Amino acid sequence: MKSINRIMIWGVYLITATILAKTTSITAQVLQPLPPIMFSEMNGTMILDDGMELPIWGYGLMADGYITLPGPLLEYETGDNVNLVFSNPSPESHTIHLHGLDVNQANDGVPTTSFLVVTGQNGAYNFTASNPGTFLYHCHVTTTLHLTMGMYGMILVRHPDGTLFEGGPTYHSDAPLLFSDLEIATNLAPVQSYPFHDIRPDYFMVNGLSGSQLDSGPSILSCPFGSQLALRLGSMAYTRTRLIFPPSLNATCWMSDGRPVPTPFSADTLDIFPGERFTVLITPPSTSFDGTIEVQYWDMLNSQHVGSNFIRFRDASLATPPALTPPSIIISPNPAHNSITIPASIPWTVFDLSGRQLLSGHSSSIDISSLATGNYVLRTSGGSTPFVKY
Amino acid sequence: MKRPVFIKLTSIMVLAHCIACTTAIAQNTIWINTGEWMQSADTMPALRFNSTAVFDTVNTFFNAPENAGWELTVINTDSVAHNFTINTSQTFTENIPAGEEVTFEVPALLFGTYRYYSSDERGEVLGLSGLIKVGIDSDLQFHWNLADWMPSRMDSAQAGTPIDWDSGYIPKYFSINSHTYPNTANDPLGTVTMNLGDTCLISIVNGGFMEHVLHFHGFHVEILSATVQTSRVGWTKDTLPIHKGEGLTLLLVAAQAGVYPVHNHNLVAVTNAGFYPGGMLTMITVQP
Repeated sequence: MKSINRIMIWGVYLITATILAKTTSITAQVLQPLPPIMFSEMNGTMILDDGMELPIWGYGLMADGYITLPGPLLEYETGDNVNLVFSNPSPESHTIHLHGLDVNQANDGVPTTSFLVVTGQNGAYNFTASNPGTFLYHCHVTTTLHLTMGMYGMILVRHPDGTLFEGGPTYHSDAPLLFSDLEIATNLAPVQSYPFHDIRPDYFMVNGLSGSQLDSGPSILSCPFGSQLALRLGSMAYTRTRLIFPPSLNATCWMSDGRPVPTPFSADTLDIFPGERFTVLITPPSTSFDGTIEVQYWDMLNSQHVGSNFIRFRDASLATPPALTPPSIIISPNPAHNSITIPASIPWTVFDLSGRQLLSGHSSSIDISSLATGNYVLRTSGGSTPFVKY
Repeated sequence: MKRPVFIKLTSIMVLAHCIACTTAIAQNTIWINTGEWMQSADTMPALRFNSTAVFDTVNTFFNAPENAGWELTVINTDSVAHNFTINTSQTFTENIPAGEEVTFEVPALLFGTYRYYSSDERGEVLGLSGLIKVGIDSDLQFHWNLADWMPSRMDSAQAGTPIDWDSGYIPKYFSINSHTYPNTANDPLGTVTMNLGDTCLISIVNGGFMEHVLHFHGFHVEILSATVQTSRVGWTKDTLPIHKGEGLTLLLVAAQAGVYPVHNHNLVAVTNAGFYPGGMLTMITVQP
């Protein structure tokens, strides 16, 4: 069962294991790889296109130690039997609803019919990824509020032979695109967000990014001339999303809601309603192609165009190499007993492996004497770095 | 022994509701009645198409044969003229003057689910909107007549004062068969209850003023008919847009037991007067 998330987690634990192996005094400590664990928190921050910091609630991988909007992409292969472990250290109860996977009642993530994961508790969702395609996940507790705060993500189930589905077309690579929106005033003051029938989104996103944030680095889509890019499209918005493709891309819709459509169709303009998913194949018309796909957001109450984003798509020969992941910050010593040092005085936060925020500060010297022996994650703007307290 | 007993009870329940709420073609007469619709702290003026002269908050529905017209009499008890309208490839409209009854032939329709309504402003805002099931021959059939409600516009319509269509539309209630959750879960016309392995047909119309989108937990459904999204007939989906005025017919196979929500995924519409949960949310129950 392949999973980038799992690979990332294994990577973290291999680093930890390497560090531990060099320290003979603590080689007996925990070296067992943990299964991928999701967690939720309600103290996250996202940076808007204008630089504003906005509070978010959301999901993250416990191994990363921080939440994101949207939550991490979960990737499976058709037929995978999945055990998705979810830890909730946040102040309120949450769930994970596996949107479109047709899981049974016990794993449906609806508080009244399934189970709640209350503060400080863990839960596990067991299901089989029976069908390939694009799916979503989100919290189903006070859903109207928890979604606009950011508690959602995408699930991608790939068919193992490199086709979209059994008997379907082959393609070069996947581009997951999750469309969403939020009302800034709600995120700034969620406690005062009643009434929920009057949430009016005023910030519109693609994979949590907006405006100029989409015009650089990994947000630029690319594909070699002569091959096809699979756009995995899903909406967790309050608005209707309309994609407008340049006709020369030959955008063709092959799937919706995790099922093949009976007849693939040209999709130069494609509406995606909240909760819907589509898989669309596009191909650059030439080796010099460099264009944009417009994403419009339409208010569903009044059928008004309320926002747009633009996704850049280029032939692979022109594509800017994806931005390198910022190097994790160097912690020394590591493992450590009383304190650790980082190279600069920058904002940092220390999480445990349940995603619980334990320490925060700005100094280059960090006092960890209050921490219990174990594994932790230091998060800065440069990324997350695991360390060991002994 | 439980399964046969359940089937029998279900059959009796469906039959009872057909008698109580369906306007069978044999009856041929419906009334436009005036009354009130109460939700939370709001009491709103209401107009409904009913199968008797007594006001009922639920609009009646028709089970009509395929490819055959039928004669219908509409008695308008309101003080304002209304009409009986169906939008297909051609719009059919019959005017019903205030206080009068009019008999006419409803045109032949193809298999599917259609909205009938009164297209005048007062009629639409106050809720004159029902559905016609054409050629749907199933022992297990349910329907969802979707609507959205903005009390200030309803008050204007009732008072005969101009409705401010230019101001933003902010509906306060969202209903299925004139019920809002949790009352939707006790609606025998709309609450899907079936046995594992059963197949049912669900008819949906959007009688509201905005687009809606319904998400099924636990199941995908096949689209058997659509009056707007005709190219989607044959698709299998779990999340279905329903455009304004559109009718859909869905086929649901009860492939797993349990209790599963179906709800609007425009999440402002799963509220009552701003409180969650409410609105366009109902349940599918599949007995093992």
